[in-house]
Amino acid sequence: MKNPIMIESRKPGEPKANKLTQLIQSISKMRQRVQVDRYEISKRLTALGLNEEIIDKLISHGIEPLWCIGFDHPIDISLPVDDQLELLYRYAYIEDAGHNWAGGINYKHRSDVLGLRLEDFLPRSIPENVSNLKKMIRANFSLTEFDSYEVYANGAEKIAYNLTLGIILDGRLYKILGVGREITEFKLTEKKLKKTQQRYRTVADFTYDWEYWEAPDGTLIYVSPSCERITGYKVSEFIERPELIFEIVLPEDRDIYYNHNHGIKDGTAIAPGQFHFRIQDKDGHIRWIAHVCQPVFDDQGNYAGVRASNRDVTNLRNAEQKAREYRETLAQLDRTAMLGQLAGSIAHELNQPLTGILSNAQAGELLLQQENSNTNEMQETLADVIADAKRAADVIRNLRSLFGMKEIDFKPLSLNAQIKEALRLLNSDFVINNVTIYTELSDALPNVMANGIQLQQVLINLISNAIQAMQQSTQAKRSISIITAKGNGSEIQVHVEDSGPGIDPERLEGIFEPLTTSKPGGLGMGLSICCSIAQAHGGRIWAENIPEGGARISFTLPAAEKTS
Amino acid sequence: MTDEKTTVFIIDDDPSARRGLSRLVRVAGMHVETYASAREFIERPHYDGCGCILLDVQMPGMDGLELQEQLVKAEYSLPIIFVSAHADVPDAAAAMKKGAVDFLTKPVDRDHLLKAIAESLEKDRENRKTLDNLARVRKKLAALSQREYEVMTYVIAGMLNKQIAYELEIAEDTVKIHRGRMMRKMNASSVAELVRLTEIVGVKPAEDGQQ
Repeated sequence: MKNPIMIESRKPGEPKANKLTQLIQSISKMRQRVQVDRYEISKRLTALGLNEEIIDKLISHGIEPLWCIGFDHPIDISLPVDDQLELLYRYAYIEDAGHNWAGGINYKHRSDVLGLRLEDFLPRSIPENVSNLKKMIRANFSLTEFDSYEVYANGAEKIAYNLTLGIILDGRLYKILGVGREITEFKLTEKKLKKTQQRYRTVADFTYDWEYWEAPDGTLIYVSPSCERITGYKVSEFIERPELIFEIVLPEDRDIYYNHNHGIKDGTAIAPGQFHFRIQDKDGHIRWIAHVCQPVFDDQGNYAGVRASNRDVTNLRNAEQKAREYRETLAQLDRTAMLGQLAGSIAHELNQPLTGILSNAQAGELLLQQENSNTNEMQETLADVIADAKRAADVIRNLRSLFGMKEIDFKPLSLNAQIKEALRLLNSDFVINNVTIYTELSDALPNVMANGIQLQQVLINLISNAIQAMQQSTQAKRSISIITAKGNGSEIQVHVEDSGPGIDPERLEGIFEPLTTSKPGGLGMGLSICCSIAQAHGGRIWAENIPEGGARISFTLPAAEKTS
Repeated sequence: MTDEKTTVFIIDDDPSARRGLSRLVRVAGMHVETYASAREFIERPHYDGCGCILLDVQMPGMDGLELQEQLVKAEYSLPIIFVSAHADVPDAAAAMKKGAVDFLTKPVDRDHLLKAIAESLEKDRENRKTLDNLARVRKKLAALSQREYEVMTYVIAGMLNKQIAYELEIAEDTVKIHRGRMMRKMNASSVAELVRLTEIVGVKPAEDGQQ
């Protein structure tokens, strides 16, 4: 027994060892040092001015619920733990107890509890009791604290906090003194709290996505263990070095990450936006992350940092990328095949009358060379040439009507509504390509006179071009601005601006010519179609580079005359 | 052009091309027949004279390539010149493989066309000459007796009368008689001429000790 007396340090929430327990401890200390039996003890106590009676009174009338266990036979504390436990249950009984303890376990008077066997209030059937007693045995009955699961007179099961001390002389246990206080309520509350805590913890720790809570000072309050699945880095690595999050973001995507919307602007919450960026995981793989975050406020409404959720969307992004490439290839093949087919059928249709024209003309030539040339034959030949030439002209006329060049339906349309519709159609492209859209749509615009389908075609073409132009660039900030304004006279202007690399000045001149393209695999028809549509509407189209960077394509449409 | 009657058959569904081409060929001095479909041409009575076909590739119903196939099967030996408004390499290759003289694309230049027609007619004349020869030799062969035919196969194998007599187990004089008659019937003045005639129809020389 090294130091069986007092443990000064105390965990918060534990009942204090009060003066009385200290007293008991000092008594036992004394007892251990001196002679063995009860008489000797009382003699010593008397010498200290404390007689048995005083102790008796202290125990029976003390405020603290005290108890004292005696034994039919003292227990040899050198025996194995299990044997000692056996003997405790066989020989131990309540030798003395305070009123408060007796009352606490629902007996009327302290005399009612005297002689109770251990089994009566600390049943062996409750595993905690066995383990607590063993704990006491292993500590050689030095000062031990434990929670006991006791059975009270009315059969109620309660939990009590106990501080116990054995009185040992010559390796034998004679008594155990203790103080026990019922803490059932406290325990149950604690248990409940623990369970709730556990539940929240489970919810947080087992989220599949990588979740974190960043404090206003930039430290991380919480990081979910799934961070390791996604990034390869452990929770502890993020907690220790919160800047790790920034470091693993790919340099090209850092601007996006730094400048993203945290769901808070000037101190007030706004709808959080989702955005995508790439990280490099611990093994060096590139992963796509879909990030969404919102501010956290405490009970008092104080800003408490940002709660973020990161989802690994690598597979999704890869699949989307593949699907898009596939779609583009198909569209490309389709366009090429269509053009080829178109060219073939145009050639066929025109070559027939051309055959007639050429053959007749060359026959005419031969006729003229012949001496007895037949005028009738000559006339017929020329008539055939004329008929065939007309037929060739018809072929071309039919072709034009086939492409709907004639019957375009112009209507007064709201330009801003048309732009919003185009933006809605392209929304998924913006999300996929991390493109931010800004609109400056003038409210004071009259309707434009336009064909809705063709206007959509122009808008979608120009915006898609802008997206593609920015794909080629390494610039992190990708934005497109759509601006509408009144132009000269009754003209309405539309500007589509991007933050891409701009247009090669050498190409700027002929950019609306057909078959001009800077895109690999592009047909070079997009802008030329836009140009012919703008012209068919009586408008203009032009391209320029913005001095601050990026390209601007503008076109005009005539305002519809106001009908009232 | 020779005195012999020649006809250029123009088969094309397109009226402009058909009229233009037929006028050009006619003005160039040839007799022309025009047809608006392959079917119409097939239904025409068999033509024995010299000529060629100017055939459009793409036509509704039976197209030019199908008609060519049918004519080849029927051993109709008129040479074919294809014309197409839609130059297609695989079509041209297929047509040439089956013996077309040329594959021209519309609009067809006069010089090309007349040159192709001239080549076709020349080819047709050759064909017809070969066919005539063949018929003549076959007629002579048919006049030979069994023994004379046998003797002929030994003669063109380069055997002497003595050897032939031995092979056929007959007297040498008898061989001489058969041989004389055979040469007269074949109208051949030498063994060399006999060999040339038999080659036209593909008579095989006898082999040593076979009979």
